[in-house]
Amino acid sequence: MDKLNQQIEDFLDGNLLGEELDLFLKQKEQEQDIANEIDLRLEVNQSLKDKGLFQLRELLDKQRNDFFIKDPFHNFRKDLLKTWHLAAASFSLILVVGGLWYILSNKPYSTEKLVTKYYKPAHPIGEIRSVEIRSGDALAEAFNHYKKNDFNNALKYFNSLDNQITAKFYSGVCYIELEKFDQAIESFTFVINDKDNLFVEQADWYLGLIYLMNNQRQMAISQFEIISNGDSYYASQAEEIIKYLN
Amino acid sequence: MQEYKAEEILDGLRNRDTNVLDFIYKSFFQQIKIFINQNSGTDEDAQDIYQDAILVIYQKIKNDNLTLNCSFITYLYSVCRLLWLKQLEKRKKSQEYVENSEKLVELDDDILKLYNSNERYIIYQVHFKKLSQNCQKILELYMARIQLKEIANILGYKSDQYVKKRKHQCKEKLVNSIKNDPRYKELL
Repeated sequence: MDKLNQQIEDFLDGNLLGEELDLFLKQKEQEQDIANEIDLRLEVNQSLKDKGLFQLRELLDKQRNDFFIKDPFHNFRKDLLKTWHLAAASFSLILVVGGLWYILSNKPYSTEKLVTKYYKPAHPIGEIRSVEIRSGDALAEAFNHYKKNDFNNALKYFNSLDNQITAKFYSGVCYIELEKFDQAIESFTFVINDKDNLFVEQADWYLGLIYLMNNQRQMAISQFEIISNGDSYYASQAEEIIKYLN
Repeated sequence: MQEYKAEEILDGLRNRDTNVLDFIYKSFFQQIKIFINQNSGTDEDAQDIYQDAILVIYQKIKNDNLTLNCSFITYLYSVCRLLWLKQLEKRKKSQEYVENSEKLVELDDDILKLYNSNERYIIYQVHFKKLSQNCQKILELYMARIQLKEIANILGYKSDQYVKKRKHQCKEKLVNSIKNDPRYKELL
């Protein structure tokens, strides 16, 4: 099989010549499997040459984040414009501002307060969109449990997916929820070391928060320094935390 | 917000111009969302269909040099409608589709074919991104038709034979990983 695949690759690269090429072409005509394999490999090659589609997809994902996911209050703002909502909104605002003032006036923060303020479990990806979510039943099943805060069962499914990045990231969140910090660190470190995925920024952020939860103050400061020095979405929040910790 | 004519939108899409992408989204997404919501779809479905439609139009521009005899929104709406009908069929909900009075344009037969090939391309590229940096690099250089000797120089390998062997290993890894993806099997 490996020899045949090598031959197919040579054919696609234009390296099959003379008699060898004739024989291969005959074989290709007779065996549909070979023709299918050639089609797949040819299409893969084309997709690798054509980065445009993937880049556009990434831009659209970003746009979606900017306009849709990061703006969950879009409709709410529209409602606010209606006068009869304004009074209720103002009252809520006073409550929120009052609450914030109360929290902020209680500086310095204990690590517990910091964690309470900054930690939120990641939204399940099914509510966003990813190619990954369609990858199989295990991931879908894992998210079903995750959404119900059933982190033990969610973990069973996430962990069944071996080293799949999405699963690894969410397993980290599950471990945080179950206060198994060492395992959470392991999961997020895996995601961070992979480098080339959508969860790196979040994994970095959670790693810092885990150090806080685990009372590893210096490790937390170092981690938040890394975040605040980069262009991460969490850079400003990391900076806030460093100020509190110092 | 700057306004764009249909031709400028097509040009902007071809070049993946973010200003044009933002303009399309801000100007037309709401209409797509209303249509999907009226036809048993959620806001997330609307986002998915919108995104898929833009990708299909992008490929159509690149492959066929698409020109429009209608407004861009009519074309976009028609593509979204077709993709959503297909999705409803898949979900066995096509009887829930409500015909609408929006203007439509007749689409080429290859739109669904393009949609399917886009889905496959995305899967291939997702698996490519999962390869090690070294494998990605070697395949990229190979696809760019860089000479084996030069690839060996760039990557610090001693011989071009080793480059060839390594390229083969990386390609096999990629192809196997694609073949094992349930989404790929679904699309076959």
